[in-house]
Amino acid sequence: MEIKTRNFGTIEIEDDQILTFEDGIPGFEKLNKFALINDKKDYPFAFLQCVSDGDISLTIINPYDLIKDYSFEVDDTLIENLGQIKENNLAIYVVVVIPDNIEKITANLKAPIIINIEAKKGIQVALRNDNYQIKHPVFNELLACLSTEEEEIC
Amino acid sequence: MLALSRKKDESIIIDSNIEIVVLDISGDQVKLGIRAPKHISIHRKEIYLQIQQENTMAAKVPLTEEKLVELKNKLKKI
Repeated sequence: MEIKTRNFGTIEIEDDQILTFEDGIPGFEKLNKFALINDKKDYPFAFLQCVSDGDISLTIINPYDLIKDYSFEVDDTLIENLGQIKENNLAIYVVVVIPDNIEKITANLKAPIIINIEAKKGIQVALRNDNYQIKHPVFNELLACLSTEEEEIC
Repeated sequence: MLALSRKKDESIIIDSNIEIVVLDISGDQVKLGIRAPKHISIHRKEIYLQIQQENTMAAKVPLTEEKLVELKNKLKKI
């Protein structure tokens, strides 16, 4: 399907890119369908583009690209709607905010988005522990991640 | 809003399966215990509000092509 978006213009979305967030995403509780846009050219960033509202798109990042030892626990019951999570169907992202001064970029490590990529279902959970912040500065981690990537290309 | 007065160790029941107990009262702080089915997610309100706010902010300030280029340029200078 084609959708008109604010950030990417008119784009073609394949059905298998569309994820269902049964309870929406905090702040967008009524919106359930988001397309996962995960292009190599935008690495390490990816996007959750709302399917029904082209103006809404969240920039996300795989937290393990930034923080190798990122780890958390969630109650199984919180994610039981996602279906059975296995190593090969699990994707984890965190939402990033990129202000005008890009050095102030932050990632919300406190509330990871957990996705079952097979079942095409996702949920954003709030972690109970206080190890991670909602506005976790990640500029240095981002530079490190990008520079490793450049080395790999060279 | 329904307002109920409770003493320490007293509780309220919501919808027959959620119980909120006043565990302790000390000065202006109340410690609450919550018994609820596991699928009920419970957060301090301010945490939920902050996550809402952060998502809304993330949607408002998108990653533009220019920002991505700027980021990669910064990297080259280092």
